[in-house]
Amino acid sequence: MVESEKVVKGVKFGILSPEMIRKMSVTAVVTPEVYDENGIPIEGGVMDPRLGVIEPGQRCATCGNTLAQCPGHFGHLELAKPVIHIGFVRHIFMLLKATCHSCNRVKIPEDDVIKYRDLYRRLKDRWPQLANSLVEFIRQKASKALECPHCKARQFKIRLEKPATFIEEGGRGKLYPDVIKQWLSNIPSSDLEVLGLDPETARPEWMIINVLPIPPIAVRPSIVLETGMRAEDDLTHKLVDIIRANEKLKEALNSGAPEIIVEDLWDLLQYHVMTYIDNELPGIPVAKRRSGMPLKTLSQRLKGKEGRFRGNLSGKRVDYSARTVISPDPNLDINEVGVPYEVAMTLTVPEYVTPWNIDKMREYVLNGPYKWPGANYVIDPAGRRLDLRYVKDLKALAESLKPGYIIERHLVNGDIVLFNRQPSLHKMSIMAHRVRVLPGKTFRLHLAVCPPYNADFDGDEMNLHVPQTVEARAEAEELLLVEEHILTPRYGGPIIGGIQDYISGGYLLTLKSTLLTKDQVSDLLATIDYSGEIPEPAIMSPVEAWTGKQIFSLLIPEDFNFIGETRLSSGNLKCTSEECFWDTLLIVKKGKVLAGVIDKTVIGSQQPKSLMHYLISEKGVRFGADFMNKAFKLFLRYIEMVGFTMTLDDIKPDEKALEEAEKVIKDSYSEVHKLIEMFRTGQLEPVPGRTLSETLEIRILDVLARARDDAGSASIRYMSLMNPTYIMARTGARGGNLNITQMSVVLGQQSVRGERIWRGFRGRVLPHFKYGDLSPEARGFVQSSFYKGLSPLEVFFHSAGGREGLVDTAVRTSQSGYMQRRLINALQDLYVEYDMSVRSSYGELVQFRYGEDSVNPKKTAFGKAVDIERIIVKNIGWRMSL
Amino acid sequence: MKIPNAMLIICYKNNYSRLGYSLSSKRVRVEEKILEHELVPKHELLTKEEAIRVLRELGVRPEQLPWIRASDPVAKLLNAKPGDIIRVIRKSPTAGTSIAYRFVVVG
Ligand SMILES: [Mg+2]
Ligand SMILES: [Zn+2]
Ligand SMILES: [Zn+2]
Repeated sequence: MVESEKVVKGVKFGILSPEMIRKMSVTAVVTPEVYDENGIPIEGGVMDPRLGVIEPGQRCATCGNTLAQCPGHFGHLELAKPVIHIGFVRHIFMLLKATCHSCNRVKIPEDDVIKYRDLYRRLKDRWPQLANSLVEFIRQKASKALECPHCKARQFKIRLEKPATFIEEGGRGKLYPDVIKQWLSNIPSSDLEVLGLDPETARPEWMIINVLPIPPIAVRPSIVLETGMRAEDDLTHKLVDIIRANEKLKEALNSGAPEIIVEDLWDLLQYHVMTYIDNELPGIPVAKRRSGMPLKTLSQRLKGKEGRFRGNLSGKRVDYSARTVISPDPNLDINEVGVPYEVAMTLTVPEYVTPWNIDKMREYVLNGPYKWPGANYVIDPAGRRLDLRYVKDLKALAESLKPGYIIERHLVNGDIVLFNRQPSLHKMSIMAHRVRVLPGKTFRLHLAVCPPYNADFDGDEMNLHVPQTVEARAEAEELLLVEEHILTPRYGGPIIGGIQDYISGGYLLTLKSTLLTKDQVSDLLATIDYSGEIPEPAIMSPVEAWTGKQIFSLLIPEDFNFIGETRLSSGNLKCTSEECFWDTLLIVKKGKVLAGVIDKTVIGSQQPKSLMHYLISEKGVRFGADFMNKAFKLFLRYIEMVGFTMTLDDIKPDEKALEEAEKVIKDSYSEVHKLIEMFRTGQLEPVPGRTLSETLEIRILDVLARARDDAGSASIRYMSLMNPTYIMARTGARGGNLNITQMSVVLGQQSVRGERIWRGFRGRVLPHFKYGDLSPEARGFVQSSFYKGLSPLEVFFHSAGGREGLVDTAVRTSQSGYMQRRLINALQDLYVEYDMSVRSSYGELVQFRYGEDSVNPKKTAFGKAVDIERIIVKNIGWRMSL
Repeated sequence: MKIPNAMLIICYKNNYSRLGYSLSSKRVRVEEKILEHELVPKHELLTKEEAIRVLRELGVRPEQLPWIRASDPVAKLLNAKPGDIIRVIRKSPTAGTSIAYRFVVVG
């Protein structure tokens, strides 16, 4: 069969005319009966066999095709009286208001109609938005006319009574659908054009239904329950309702029943047709199933997240995917993902048999579907699919393999897969990993890739997809591989980098006091597969000893220079020169760490302008990934060697520290009481723009916050520099001074909506306080620490504050999700042209130069295209200003 | 000294009567001064030749440029009519200065 190739130039939507509905109908539906007593569909019912095949093997009564080929066919139902299509109520309302009730012309003088029509035609193609506003203007102008400019008839006010009743005030009263249909069909096509309708495809009288299309059975299949009972689709139920109502109305009309009865039945038909189209209309009862479940009618199939558009067209369920819980594995590469055997034996990759891989392929087939690495299917050159589960003689099949066969083999080490964690808010939420098949039931990933996915291991699950074509695999490897995303376009720094123990480990390793024996050095270097010379020991006698800095330096290229202050360089440990004693200024010259320690600002994730950042941006992402793999393993090995834990004793406050802290708090309390006294006697000076009581609250909050910080730093001063908790806070590995303060000294003020706790209470928060008590303890200041333990009242305040945190994360996620959807819809098809302009797919200019400077932020340091400071340090290893 | 137009900025309480002014008597016309405001970038009306050159350089039809309404205060001041093109030269935090074009539409 020769088929001519056709190109779709466009898609146009219109309204089905009654003639069109009858023309495309294969049968008129005439009876509400569906099946006869034998369970055979009745001809002329809603399950009429001419509407399409339902059971496999059957041939269609209309087109003769089987289930797979028959597209289904429409039928139609002639309504006894017309009803309003609920989806067009607003259009009908507009038309009734804009046209004359007597001559049915648009209420605009003839000359103007011609003038507007010409203008509209000129605007339509080039300025669709302007054409729309012209139409809106014409509609409004026409609706305002009190007298018809054509027939001079006085105009009545038209009122819409929701959902679909039109009242002509002072005229005929209620306008019945048949009257409206008559009115609308009298509007000349030339008038419709200026009202923004296309009379060719959308005559307004078609908005009133007198012939209802009956959709094919394929869109409303009935299902057979285990009990053998037949359950019909909601749409079928609704159609039966409509037909029944229609029959009753027809009978009433034929028997000349009183008008009231006819009107009631007509309203019932209108109700059924309305809910058939949309069952979530405001102001009318929803149609329900016998079980009380609201029926899912046409509109409900399309709308919302699970609807046809968002659920089946924008987003689909896919094959070759897996989902399970994630857990950490520091022994993987950052580019890898650990995949359980079970998953690897279910997901497959189609591979062509070639002369070069035929031996390997035979092995896979021989292993079969139950032994890894095997294969699940073999596809022969004729396209026949062999399920290896049912192949008796795998050996014979393996022998018969020839180039041209396709083997759907198990996932093996090194395969490229896509890995994803919701919510997929940025491009780093889907990255390509290399497979590492492992025992266990979870996906495993390197800890350094937690930040881009925002993953932790408290039960998080992630998805995995297997690309099925070479093109897809190549694309994934080149564009999506984890290492390509180490640097983020958000600020140019590494989003993948050191976290938690990597930072603590790096710090401990590079401490000035860390000296390593030859055994230790060998152990450390073995973990990173080091194969070069061991450097000259830093200390020769009495025993040879190496510094941690020396070991770390082995990973840094010889030509790399870096100078940067670390996080520890603050307060009395601040370093401003290379000769500084405190070792808090990191100096790397010619690839050797000369001074300074490693902390978050050196190797941390999300730290731009760090050593890690410049290593990656200057030596490439491949080097960067390798550096991370090795450095992180090194740090972990060292932290394992020395041991690093946190105990309750670490946060036990020092006796003297506690005394100091208590004094600070006591002083702040008396200051607060002084403020309250001033407030009561009217001596308090209000802050501009605030009331007196707001001022008091601000001042109190301020005093108490300061008290907590002072108490905290007083106690932190007494902490040992080798206290693990304190090390983690200092290096930025986990927690900060605030967390230490709260654990060991004072929890501080609890707040709801940024205020001390009083919202939602009258006069006092709990009956333990006097009315109007403004003192710190009555409004949620928690003087205890987690170490000491909270009093019952303090627990109450703490949970009130904690609840707020939970509530606004819940609220924030839904809001940001909605914003995300809208942004993506607006931006998804924009692209940067070769001239660096940003354009839409319609060729509209969005930006004349990308970002105004056409700089890719991923390749910058914090958005700056040229970083002079860095160029100097990079080349001469020395910086002018510190 | 004659001051034809003025904008009054008062901090703290807006006690006009105490100052002896009645601000409701005449709407203060600030529109004529907007081009001098620091936050309003420089706007220029292109000549026909310039407009054609710019459109050719960018390879777009005029309506594919971003739009500006003829009723926009700046467009009014430049006496721009629908169909004209305006060049906007603004300070940019990333690039120093950046140039953009606007196509004037009715409205
Ligand atoms: Mg989690
Ligand atoms: Zn068919
Ligand atoms: Zn008329």
